[in-house]
Amino acid sequence: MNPTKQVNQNTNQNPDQGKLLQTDASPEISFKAVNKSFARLDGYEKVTGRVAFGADISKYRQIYAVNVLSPLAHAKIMQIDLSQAMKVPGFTAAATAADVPGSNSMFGRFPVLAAEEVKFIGDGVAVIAAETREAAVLAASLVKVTYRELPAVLTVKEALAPEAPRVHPDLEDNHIEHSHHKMYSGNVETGFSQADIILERDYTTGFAYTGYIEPEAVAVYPDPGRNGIVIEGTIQNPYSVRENVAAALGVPMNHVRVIQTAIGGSFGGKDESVIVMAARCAVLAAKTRRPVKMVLSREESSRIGGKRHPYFSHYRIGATRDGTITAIEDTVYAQGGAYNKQAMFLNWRGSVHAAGPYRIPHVKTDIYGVYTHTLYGTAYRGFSAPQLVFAVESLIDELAEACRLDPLEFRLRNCLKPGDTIPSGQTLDPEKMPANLREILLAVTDKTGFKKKWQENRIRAIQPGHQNLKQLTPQQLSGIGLSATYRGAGLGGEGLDTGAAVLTLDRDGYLNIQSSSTEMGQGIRTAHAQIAAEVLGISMDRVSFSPTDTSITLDAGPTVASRGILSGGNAVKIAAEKIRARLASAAVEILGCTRNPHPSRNGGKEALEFSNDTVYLSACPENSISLTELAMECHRNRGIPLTAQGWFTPEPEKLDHATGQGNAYPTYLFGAAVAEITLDPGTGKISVKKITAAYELGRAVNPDIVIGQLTGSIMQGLGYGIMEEIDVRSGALQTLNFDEYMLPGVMDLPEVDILLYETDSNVGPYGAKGIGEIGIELIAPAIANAFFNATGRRIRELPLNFERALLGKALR
Amino acid sequence: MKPLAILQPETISEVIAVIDEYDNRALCIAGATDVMIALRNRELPEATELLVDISRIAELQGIREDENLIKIAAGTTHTEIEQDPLLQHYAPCLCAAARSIGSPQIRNRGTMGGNIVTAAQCADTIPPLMVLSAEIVLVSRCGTRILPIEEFFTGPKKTARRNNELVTEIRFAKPPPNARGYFYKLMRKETVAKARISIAALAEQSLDGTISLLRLSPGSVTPRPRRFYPVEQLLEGRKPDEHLIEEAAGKTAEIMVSITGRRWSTPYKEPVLRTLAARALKEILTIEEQPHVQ
Ligand SMILES: Cc1cc2nc3c(=O)[nH]c(=O)nc-3n(C[C@H](O)[C@H](O)[C@H](O)COP(=O)(O)OP(=O)(O)OC[C@H]3O[C@@H](n4cnc5c(N)ncnc54)[C@H](O)[C@@H]3O)c2cc1C
Repeated sequence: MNPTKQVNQNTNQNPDQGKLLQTDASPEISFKAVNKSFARLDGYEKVTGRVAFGADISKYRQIYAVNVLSPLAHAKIMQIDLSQAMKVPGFTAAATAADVPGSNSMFGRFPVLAAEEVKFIGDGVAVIAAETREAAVLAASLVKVTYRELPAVLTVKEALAPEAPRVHPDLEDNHIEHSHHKMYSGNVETGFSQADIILERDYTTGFAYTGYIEPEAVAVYPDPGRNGIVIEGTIQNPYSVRENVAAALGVPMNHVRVIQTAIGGSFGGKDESVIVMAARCAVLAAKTRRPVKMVLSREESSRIGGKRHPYFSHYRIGATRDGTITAIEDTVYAQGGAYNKQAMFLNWRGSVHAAGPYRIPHVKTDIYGVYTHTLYGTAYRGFSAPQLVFAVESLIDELAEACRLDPLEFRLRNCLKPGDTIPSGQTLDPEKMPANLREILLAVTDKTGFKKKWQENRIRAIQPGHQNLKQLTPQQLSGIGLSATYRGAGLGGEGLDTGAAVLTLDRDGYLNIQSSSTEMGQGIRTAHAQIAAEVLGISMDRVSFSPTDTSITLDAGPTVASRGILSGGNAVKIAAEKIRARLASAAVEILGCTRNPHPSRNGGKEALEFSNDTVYLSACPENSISLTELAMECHRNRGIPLTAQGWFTPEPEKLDHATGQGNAYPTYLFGAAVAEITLDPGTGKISVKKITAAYELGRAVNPDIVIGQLTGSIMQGLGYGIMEEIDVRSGALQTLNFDEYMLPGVMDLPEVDILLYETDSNVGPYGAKGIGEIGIELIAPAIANAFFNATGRRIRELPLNFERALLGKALR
Repeated sequence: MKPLAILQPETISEVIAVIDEYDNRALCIAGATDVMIALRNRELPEATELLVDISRIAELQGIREDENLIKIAAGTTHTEIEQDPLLQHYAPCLCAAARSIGSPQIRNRGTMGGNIVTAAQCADTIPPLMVLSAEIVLVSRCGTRILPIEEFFTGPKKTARRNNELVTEIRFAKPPPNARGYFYKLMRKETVAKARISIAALAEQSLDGTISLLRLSPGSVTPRPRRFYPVEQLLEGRKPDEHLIEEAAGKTAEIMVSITGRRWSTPYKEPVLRTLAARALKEILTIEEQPHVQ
């Protein structure tokens, strides 16, 4: 097995963190560009405010579009009266479902505009365009829609009741199509019969808002140079937008060109909402032949944008008295809302991980998705993990307690180890997957003095009267909590995980990358540039990138599932290697040597070295040619194309969808975290003091970016854990802006100490597996476990806000 | 909505003339941190035609000492209040409240005049001003009115200010030299969060420990800001001990419930206000060690 390399990354105390990685690199591997904290390629433009975001787009003669949204959760549309709206000075056009030229049912049943009936508060009924945004807002407010209200199902419980009104009447009931996923292994009844202790618990998580700093914006205009339209905007997945808008307009996909502007955060969210916006604006643009721009206010973004799915998880788990888990059985419901583009994928991922990172011989998991007349669920960082890891890691802590073992001991006894088999039947091949969870658990607990602190707090918490409210000025209580996880890299069995890239080395020896992965602030362009630079020995300041534009870049699916590195990065590497091979063929002639035909069989040593923008003979470095000269030579005299395409698809995962058995993901990441909190027992206020987290991530292509991603994820996890709550009373969203929706701010950032473990031989480029998501999922359960440690009380519902922490339940 | 005009007068008398003429059609803007939001949400008073920007009037800026009074000009920003040495000396609870408001950007723009005229339930400078027994100076064409702060607030988001009146100053008598003040704001996050509950208190004890002065005003718990007189009366003239503080804290929560009735949030607010009141009192009162009774 490969040794894991540990790199200490204390974000608060060590400004030079990235450098540590270099000094610590495994002796066999030395990198030129990868594994180093280069400044971001798009950093200067972003920090100096030069970059253009969606709302900055301005087109000659543009008009502004504003949505008319349903105020009712479920109603039949009787009449739409536009007469008053049309009288507003500046009114230019309006569209309703009747104006949609193509299909009014996009992927996931999203209508461009609701035709017969509205299915949630926020469903679009009409869209108005006017010469100014103010006029459009006014006109939209004057559209008179007559509804006949229908009974609505607002919760999973209501939706699953017999005879419940159906969200989609063509379906038999409110179960989302293809969203039931099973993971059965062993025989749980056998497992429970072997158990001495059996716990049965429910865990609940609510909707959560992606809360990106920039609300959604799109502009749609007739293509000035050819047939069709152009869509620009804050779009995470340009190809999904293209496909859906083309269908809505009834035109071929190549009549729709989607250009992504810079994005101020997405986290999975700028997907359904921007598809719907783009489709509505496209209908108006087709109607008016003018550019149509739509920018959401924060309140509209809250109303229209997707949310993390609420999960209702029922778990049953058994262990022997000595603390060995024998069986786990769980039934989980994901609330999908009115329309659904995600639950079938989300729940599949969930089914693989629902038993947690433990060796459990008997597993039975059933996850369902359910339609309701509410906000819909979108992809949001973690994609089922924040919900399920909260449930499982709370449960494991409860079981440890029942077995009278401390949380660390219990996890060490049961956690996955190299060579173990996970519930899908896949074996964690030690050659490919080091599965060093044990090492990670020990690292985070050693570093924090977990055992001692946990014991001390626990003893205090069980003393009678320690949190007696009669004692009017109680001391702050401290708590420490642990959580662990593993996470399949990329899409795995969710779908085809292809990445694509085109690289061009210009005749001056500078490189351009066209990648199928989109930049959303996660730093993928810089990481891709580093991978290309590693292959070609080109310096980073020679690398540039094409904007994401469906008429230029290649369609390799959406940038989701932390797959920009794994598949997107591999595609870049493959393309770079093709260019390198072509350059090498010219260089051997120019430098007068023979080429080692099988570099990989010769200890990786090639006859040629590519380094510092130069190509030279390994044996004789003085015999060299600059990359610039070599590129010029290829272009001018030899007709060697220096544009190459890379496609990468990981080995297809073999999975039986009836049982969930098979290879689920090409590889897995591992992680563990410790949260240290204080609780004010007088107010229920939890302050997170420190998060210590460790991740096995394969390779950190750019350690600074990795730490940035993980720290951001940890903050989102913290918000999910103790602050963020969406209030959807009677289906109506109350938390419309950040005065009500409590997103943590920079002053809420605790001390964060991140340990990175690197391993080789993973499927990703240079071993990298992608860390866009794993940071978020450990935090809420670690905090909930710390809360238990501080108080002896267990809260099984997120967030642990003041009211739940003090009273054990939400106020309403 | 009608198009709005904006005027930038340079003196108080210009403002007064304009707002007298326009009456309810004029709206002052100081830091505009409340007005801009109302504007965007289309919640400005229906009649508004003219915005009168008072943020550049020199007479409305600054904090002064005038014999026994501390005078804060209405246009003084929260940042200035937070950092002012006079206030730090005489009214640290007010500085603490100012420091807890919004973010640095909001504090740099938002003013004390705006905070009290908006009169939000969760306005942070109000509880400290209540316990400082501040007075509000209102100036109009007809002259000057000086209202005790309690009379200034007449209901939720309602004040006794007349349309033609400008708030020019907020002032209070210097508290006795050994008085101790307190402010605490319970927030769901560390910045840009409104008070879930806040509390301000001020106390003075005579040499033998008897409470000679006590003022208490919780924020965000009653529809309009109030002093909790029955609690003050319970404490004044007595020597504090654990038991008395507990009783006073209980009474504080009781008064809140008697004003608001039992609402959905009462199960949370009742115990928490009790705790916060007890903490406030313990912080500002010195409890003498009781000789051990054998
Ligand atoms: C993001 C954000 C966070 C906030 N956080 C807090 C917080 O934590 N705590 C808090 O208490 N408040 C908070 N506020 C509210 C606001 O900032 C304060 O109430 C501030 O003090 C208002 O002052 P201003 O000068 O900006 O008022 P403006 O918006 O200029 O005016 C508000 C009202 O007062 C009137 N007015 C202003 N000055 C005078 C005067 N001299 N005479 C007569 N009428 C006058 C105006 O006509 C208007 O009706 C926040 C606001 C925002 C936007």
